[in-house]
Amino acid sequence: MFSNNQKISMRQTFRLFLFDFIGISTLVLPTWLAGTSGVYGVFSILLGGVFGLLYLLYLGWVLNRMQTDLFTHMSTAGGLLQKLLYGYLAVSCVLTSGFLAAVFTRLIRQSLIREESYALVLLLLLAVAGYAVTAGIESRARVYEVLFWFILIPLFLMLFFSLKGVDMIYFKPQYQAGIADICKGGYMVFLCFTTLFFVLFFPKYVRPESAGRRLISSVCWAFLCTIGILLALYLILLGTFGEGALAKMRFPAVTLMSTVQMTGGFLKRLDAIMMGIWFFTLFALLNLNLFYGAQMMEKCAGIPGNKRYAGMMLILTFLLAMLFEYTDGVPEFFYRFFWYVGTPLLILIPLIPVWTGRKRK
Amino acid sequence: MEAKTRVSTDIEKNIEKYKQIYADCADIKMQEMMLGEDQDCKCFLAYIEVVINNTMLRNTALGRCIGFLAKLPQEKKGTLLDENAMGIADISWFENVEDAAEAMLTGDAILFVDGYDKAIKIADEGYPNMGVQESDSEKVVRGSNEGFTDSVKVNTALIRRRVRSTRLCVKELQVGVRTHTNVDLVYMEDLAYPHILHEIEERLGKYEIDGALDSGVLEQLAEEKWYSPFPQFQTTQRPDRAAMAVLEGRVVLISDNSPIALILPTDLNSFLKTSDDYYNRFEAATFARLLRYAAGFFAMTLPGLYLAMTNFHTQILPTTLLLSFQEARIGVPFPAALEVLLMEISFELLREAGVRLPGAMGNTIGIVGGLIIGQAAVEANLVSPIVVIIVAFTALCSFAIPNEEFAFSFRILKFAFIALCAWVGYYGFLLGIMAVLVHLSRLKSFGIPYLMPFVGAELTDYEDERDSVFRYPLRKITKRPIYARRNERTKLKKKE
Repeated sequence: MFSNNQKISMRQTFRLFLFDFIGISTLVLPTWLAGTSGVYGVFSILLGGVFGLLYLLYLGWVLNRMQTDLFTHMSTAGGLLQKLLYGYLAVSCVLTSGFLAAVFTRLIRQSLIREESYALVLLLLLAVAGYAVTAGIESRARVYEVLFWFILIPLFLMLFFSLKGVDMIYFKPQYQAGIADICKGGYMVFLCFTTLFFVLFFPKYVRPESAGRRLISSVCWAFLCTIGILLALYLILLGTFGEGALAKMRFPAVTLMSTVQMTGGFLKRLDAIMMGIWFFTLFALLNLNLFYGAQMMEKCAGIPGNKRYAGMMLILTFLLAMLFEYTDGVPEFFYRFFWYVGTPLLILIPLIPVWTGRKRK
Repeated sequence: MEAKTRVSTDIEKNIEKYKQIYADCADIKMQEMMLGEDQDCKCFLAYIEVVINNTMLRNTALGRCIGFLAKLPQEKKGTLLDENAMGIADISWFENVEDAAEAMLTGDAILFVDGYDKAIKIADEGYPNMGVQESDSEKVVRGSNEGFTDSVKVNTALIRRRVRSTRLCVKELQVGVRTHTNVDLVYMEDLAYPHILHEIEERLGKYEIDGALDSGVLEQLAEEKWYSPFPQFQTTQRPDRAAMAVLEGRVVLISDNSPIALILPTDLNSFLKTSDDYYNRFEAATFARLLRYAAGFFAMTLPGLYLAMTNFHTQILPTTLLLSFQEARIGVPFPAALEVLLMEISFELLREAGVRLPGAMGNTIGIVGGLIIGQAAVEANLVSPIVVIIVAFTALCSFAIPNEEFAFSFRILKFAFIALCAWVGYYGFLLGIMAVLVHLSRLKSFGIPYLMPFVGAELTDYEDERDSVFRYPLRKITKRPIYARRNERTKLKKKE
């Protein structure tokens, strides 16, 4: 029989991670990559894929050492270290949520309701996100298990139909990108997949708990599928717009959808309808950050009350997203923080449980 | 608790107490009679008027009993009554007058015999009811036409007629401190999870209620999330549907005086199935299900989507279609949102009026409302023809949902979608879909996720997915759904 235990299956894990990955990567990476490495962005994606796989292997090793999830492992570690770790991760989640909410709101306004106020769009989004966050991981996994084919089939169809607009001439590089540019692009790709870090918390939520290797394999498949989709999308975008135009576009994937003409199709333009793909995928990632942010706050404060912390996360996200929109320095600070501090720390943090585990022995 | 009065061998005391209990009850008939060989044995018969058939007294068990007593020698009556020497099938004895008085309310007669220290309950025709009739809310093209009645006993018999197994259990409960309504839980002993039975009993026992006059009252008291627009119990008026549920390991709750049985646990998929899905070939059943799923979606979202497309995202529609929409709206003084809202409310009013009015008049109101008023409203330029089409199509979709309670949840949500889409267009639609999905993902019916088998399907080795939107050929559906005990999942196998 079914038990209400906030545990999810491997299929749900795969689908959840796939949606967490697809949204932001397909939305912002093509522009960034076209700007740094142009046509060679394809190699950046592949390099990012390799970085991601290595990171996942590393996380698998850490999970194997811990034999449990990070929450459970850290509950026996020193108070200060624990608080520092959770405090930093909470800040990181708040920053990411704010950034995602801002991107989300901009995307909605640009593609669907240009005249509507930024604050209202953001508030509506956070209201639904708040409802979803309090439902827990089980509910989130169910939503995305149901949505899976409803999102992927239209996406594949649209990618297929957009092949018509690809012009091979655009694959000829306009400028020669160096290895440094490709590596920079690879790091950018990896930056978009730092969500992988949350795998460390997942053994607590998956069924069966002992399935560490299966967990890594599910996430790995989700990651590889996303890299495949990203690669296909980037090639189509390059072939349709060329690297020069692509580097200047805000959300090129959405623009691509507006150019797609389906043979025998009834609707004239599909970009508004296809916005659903990014709505649901970005929503998944926003929810993930809100959910873990609330968890980190709870662990850091040491006082239980998940709904209270979810509320705090929502307020902070709202404020940050407003800052992102109306203050020039904040987006710049965000990018720099994650470029120089956030991402390197996410590589180093998993070593803490390994170190504390060894010390305990 | 008040002390009960034991049935006395002195019949006068019993009569006095009985009359005291039923003072000012004109519908209770109390008859004193002198029976026995020499008319020296005083008897007292009490029953509810109408439930005991006076003209048929000779042929009934009660008639036989009175005839038996008339010939009975005084000294043997105690022993013979104790041994049920009259050969009456449905007879019970009570030692207290109060218990006997209460038992009479089930529609049976109570007999006191002088010198005998027990009251005898003898079943007769029982309360009048409409008898087994055709189910009018769950019509099928193929399959039985029988529907449940108001009598709990008839309803359980209708299920047992279909499931002739010794493992079919019927547990009787009483709900309502004043109505003492009989509630039967019907289940297969070896298939249903015992904890579900305990849970429903616990939930029903949680409240002390004056009366439960319909299964709907029990449903509302026992559901987990009272604020959800989605029903958490499946309802049916069809004995074959209930029998099917019992065979799946689910529990059927039948309440006296209600022709609607509750099935638990349930999920979203069950609400979109009908009995004849299993009687028809799999292609037909799958096609019908696909239609119903699409109907459910459009019943909730179509008016909202129309508003989003025409008010916010006109670039989606082909120019010719958009122009024809625009032309149709020329002269309409209201904004599109108000126009849709007015038409939807008018339609709901018509539906409500049609339901409340007597049969023939109900049909008339449908024709008057749908055709005449609709036509007049279009000609008067109050609404555009396209909105009439949208509202009519939405209504058609909601009628295609086989369960009325489930369809109602879509009807309610439709207004939320209209509001959201009128406000923020397609963004509102997406937000609404997300909120509904999150809500559905949180819902459970007795521990079973509402979105089964679309979620957690690996728990049943993906077997439950074979009977969801697509109905596999019957010979491929070999397992019972998740409701049945894990070790009792096989329902079909080839003979060796």
